[in-house]
Amino acid sequence: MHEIDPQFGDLKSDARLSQALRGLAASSGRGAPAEVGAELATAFRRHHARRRLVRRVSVGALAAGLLVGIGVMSLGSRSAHQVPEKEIVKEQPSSVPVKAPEPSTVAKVATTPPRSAKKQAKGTANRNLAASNQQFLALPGYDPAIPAEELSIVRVRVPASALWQMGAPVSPGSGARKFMADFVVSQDGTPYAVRLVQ
Amino acid sequence: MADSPLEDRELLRQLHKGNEAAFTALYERYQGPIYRFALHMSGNTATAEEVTQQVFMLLIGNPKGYQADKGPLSNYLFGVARNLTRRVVQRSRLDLSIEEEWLDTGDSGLTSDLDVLSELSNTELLEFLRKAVLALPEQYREVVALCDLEEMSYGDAAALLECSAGTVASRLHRARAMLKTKLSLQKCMK
Repeated sequence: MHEIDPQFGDLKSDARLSQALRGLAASSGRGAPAEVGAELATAFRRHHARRRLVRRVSVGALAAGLLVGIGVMSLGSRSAHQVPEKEIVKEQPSSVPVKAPEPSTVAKVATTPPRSAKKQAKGTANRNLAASNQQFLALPGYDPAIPAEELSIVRVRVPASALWQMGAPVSPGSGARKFMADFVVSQDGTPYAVRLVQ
Repeated sequence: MADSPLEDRELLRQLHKGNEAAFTALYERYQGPIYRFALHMSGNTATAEEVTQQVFMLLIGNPKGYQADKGPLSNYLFGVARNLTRRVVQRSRLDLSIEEEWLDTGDSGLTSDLDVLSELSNTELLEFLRKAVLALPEQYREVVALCDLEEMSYGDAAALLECSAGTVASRLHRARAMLKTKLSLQKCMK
């Protein structure tokens, strides 16, 4: 066993040791060198500059994406309304109420193999629109907001007087003479436009 | 160290937003204690600088890593410093070079607080004390570094070391006894 040096006997006192420890704490310096702080400040600036850049790029990309989306949607809706808008000429507005043609008088233009009625109507409408250069006349109930997919064309034989009442270009003197006409109708049968075939 | 947690939290929030002044305030507040703790635990100034840098880099990169409900920011920072120091010391096995490091830089590391030093018997005593602290087992060295050298309360130290305040007091008592014995023995062997 080592003998305790009497010179250090006072270190047995907690107070003396505490004092020595305080001296040690004081001699340990005040903290990290200034270079450490400077490096950290640089790292902080770099980190947040990168974060800002990332944030800006993200916001830019999001805005660009939104613009592209809006553009695509706008083009889509324009093309959806393109056919009726081009085909239907808004002229001779008439306040005469228009009745939808009676189902019994509706003659399907094309006789195609059995398909669903909706598909058949669509196909017929497309063919008729493409085949005829004659323009449709808008009827009072025409609503441009209705999508083209919900419209179909039906060919019916109607009396001249009824066509004249609708504003179609027929002579009122034609009397009971019947004309073949194409009607643009909605799914519930409401006519929106008419075109004379003969 | 006694700054209010609310203020720390606000500074941390500002830091997260990129406010450099907030970062500087937090750095100035905690770099000293963190650096000295790492220095007392490792006995190596390079390790202490590295640990200080890593602690604050973590704060810059992930300020949300600190969860206010788990204690004050100081405890979080000391906890990170403690783990980093332990890892660095284990990795580089600096234990053997501790004495050299202290002997080489001992005088240059002194502050100008000559009054405190003059109250000690001599600088030799200070050197012995440094060596004695570094020679303590880690769990005792921690409590000496925190409670005696950084003047942390037993409660805070207990929260940091994840033990009870009674355990801290017990370890500190034991550590002081060991220090006194070591100092006496070193003087005897000289």
